Amino acid sequence: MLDLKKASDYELIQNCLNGDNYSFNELVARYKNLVYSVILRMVNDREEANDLAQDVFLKIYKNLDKYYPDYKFSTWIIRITTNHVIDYRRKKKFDSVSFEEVNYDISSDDSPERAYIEKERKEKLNHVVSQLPDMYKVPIVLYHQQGLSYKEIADIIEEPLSKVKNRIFRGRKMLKDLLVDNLKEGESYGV
Amino acid sequence: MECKKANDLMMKYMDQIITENEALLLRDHVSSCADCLEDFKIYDEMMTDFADIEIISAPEGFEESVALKIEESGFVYKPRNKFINNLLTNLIGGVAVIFAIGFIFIVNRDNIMNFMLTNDFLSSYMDIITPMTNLITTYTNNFIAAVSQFASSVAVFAAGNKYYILGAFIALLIAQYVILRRKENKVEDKVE
Repeated sequence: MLDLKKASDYELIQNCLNGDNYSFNELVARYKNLVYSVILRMVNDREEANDLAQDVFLKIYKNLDKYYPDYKFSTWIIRITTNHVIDYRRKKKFDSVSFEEVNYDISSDDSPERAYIEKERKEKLNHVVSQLPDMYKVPIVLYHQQGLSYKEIADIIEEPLSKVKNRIFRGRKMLKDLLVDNLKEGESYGV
Repeated sequence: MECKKANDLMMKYMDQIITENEALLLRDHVSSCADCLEDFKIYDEMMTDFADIEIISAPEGFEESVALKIEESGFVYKPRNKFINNLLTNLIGGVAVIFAIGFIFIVNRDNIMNFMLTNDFLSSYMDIITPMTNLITTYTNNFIAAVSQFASSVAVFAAGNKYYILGAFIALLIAQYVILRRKENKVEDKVE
């Protein structure tokens, strides 16, 4: 009997293809936070992220027989996740996202005033990230907010490493420009 | 140093791969360029905010919701029948071994039978083996004749319809390519 907790992703997948759905439950448990966080950072709405994440796992389940261990399972999952969210946004003709809907809990040992300023700044950053076109948002989210490497991102979006770097560099520049544009009079973002 | 170069160094700074020397060059530049200084401060703050990566957890009950969704979809993977798979594999393997042994026997029939005649124990079985081998040889020769006749017919047909056959072959290759591309695109759509 396979110990699900100790089994590798590939073993769980083979088990699942053999009709054992408990193995897929274990895969969901392992990767639910990753999928949910990537989606949430892209759509900035918890309810929407929850629905999309469930759809993604259903898609993953139906296409398990198409997974090849040439790539890490997490790479394959994130690829499906980002493509699914992009398709969804195209169909919904997503324009801008309200950043008031999501409150990111930020704990700080600093004074309440400092904590408030930091919180405001981070929410502002999340807001401008959500304003980026998907072409730049995906690599920025994956690199800076999910902590993936350039190589991993290149595998996910199936583009050359140089293209990934270029998009991240341009995405950062766009973020900088958006942050400056979004400043209210008298406010500053780190300046 | 030009501002473009300074901007490249800021990118290296954000990737946390800037060398000490490069950091000094960047510092020198921003100390004399107000625009680059402003850009650097913004990037630096972005780095601080990105570095505070919040661990986001999926909501409670997420796994149960996924399991329910899968159940409602009606999509299931059926258990592969190991016994039947193994039986078929063993059966095919067994037939292949028997066929191989039989082939070796037929090809070396005369040598083997001469050997058997020289052996007192084996020669007693010649009465059984000889008719069997004669029958197999007859069937084999008939089969070879039929295959040769078929091959001749195919050659005549192919000679008279070579362009149709070539066209059908190309169409088959194109169809296979299209099916393969569709299969690849089914799960993995392009990002842009």
